[in-house]
Amino acid sequence: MSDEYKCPSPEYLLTWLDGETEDGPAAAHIGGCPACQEFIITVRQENELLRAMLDDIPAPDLTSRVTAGIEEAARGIASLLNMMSYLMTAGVGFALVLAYSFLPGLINFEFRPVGVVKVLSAVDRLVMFIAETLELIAATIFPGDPLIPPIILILAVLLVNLIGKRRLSDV
Amino acid sequence: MRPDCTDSEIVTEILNGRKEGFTELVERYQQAAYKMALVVLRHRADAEDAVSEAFVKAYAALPRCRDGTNFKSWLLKIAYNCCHDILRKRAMTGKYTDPGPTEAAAHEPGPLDTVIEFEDKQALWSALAQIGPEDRSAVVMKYYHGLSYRDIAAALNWPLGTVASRLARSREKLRGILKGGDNQ
Repeated sequence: MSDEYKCPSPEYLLTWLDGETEDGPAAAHIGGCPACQEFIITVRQENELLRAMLDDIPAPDLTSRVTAGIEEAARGIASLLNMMSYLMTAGVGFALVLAYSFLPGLINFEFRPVGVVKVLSAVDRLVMFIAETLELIAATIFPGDPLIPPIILILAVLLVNLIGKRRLSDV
Repeated sequence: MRPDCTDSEIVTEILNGRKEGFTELVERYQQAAYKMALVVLRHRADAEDAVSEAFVKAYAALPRCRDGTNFKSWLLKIAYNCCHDILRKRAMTGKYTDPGPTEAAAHEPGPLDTVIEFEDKQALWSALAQIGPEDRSAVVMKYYHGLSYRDIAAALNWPLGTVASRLARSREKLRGILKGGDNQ
């Protein structure tokens, strides 16, 4: 053992051997210390034994199993997205019907602060604009007297399904 | 297999739409993940389940494996988490008993093995059962897969300083067991 420096702890020696610490004064000591050298040889032999043991263990080929798992997961996501698109469809349709039916009444309700009325008016104008645009489209596709809320609902269903399908195609 | 392609090149290809490239990553790392899972779980069927699940999860999370991420250590982290889930289920059911070296390691002596070498390997396998699953995985990650302390800390959610001390303690315990004491 070197006189200049005490033997470092096994933890330090292992860290040094693993290349996880800078070469310090302890590193200079290790080279000339039989006790440290013996420890290092033992650790290296153990490392070799571990590697040999694990090298000997046969590993199965899991490629096809992983591929099947990925396909199954993709199908699960697809059906979830499909369900979500239907829920969104119902929600959007319901919200549009509610807005179309009740917003004008809300705006005319008395004792509303001016800001709230302005916001509601803007939302109402937007809903009306969407409704009129959809009505125009519906009138072009189905000439006559279109039943606006059901048509809006159908168009909303188509729109949301379109978005949903685009998302599904990415899966 | 294209050995000249780096992992991050393959990951980029997959993210750009060449999804079949993932098979290359599976072929490249299934053995590494399986051997770690087997050491942690000590049961072949469970190790296969954990590794398959890890690859499926890795595929789903691949966009998060950005440039600069070491795919191998990232995958081993996912694989360890899958092993951890299986260990938790075992703890809940309480049905697991270690099958011993014949079921878990299940290797015959190779043509180059001497009897002593084979017995040493069996002794090491049995000794590994006496340290915790987390410590076992850290030992395999470091001394078989060559991961850095930083990667091990990230994989096992340990503080960086803990890696050195736990590895040293595990090694000391294994050494004690191999020398004949139980060193509990």
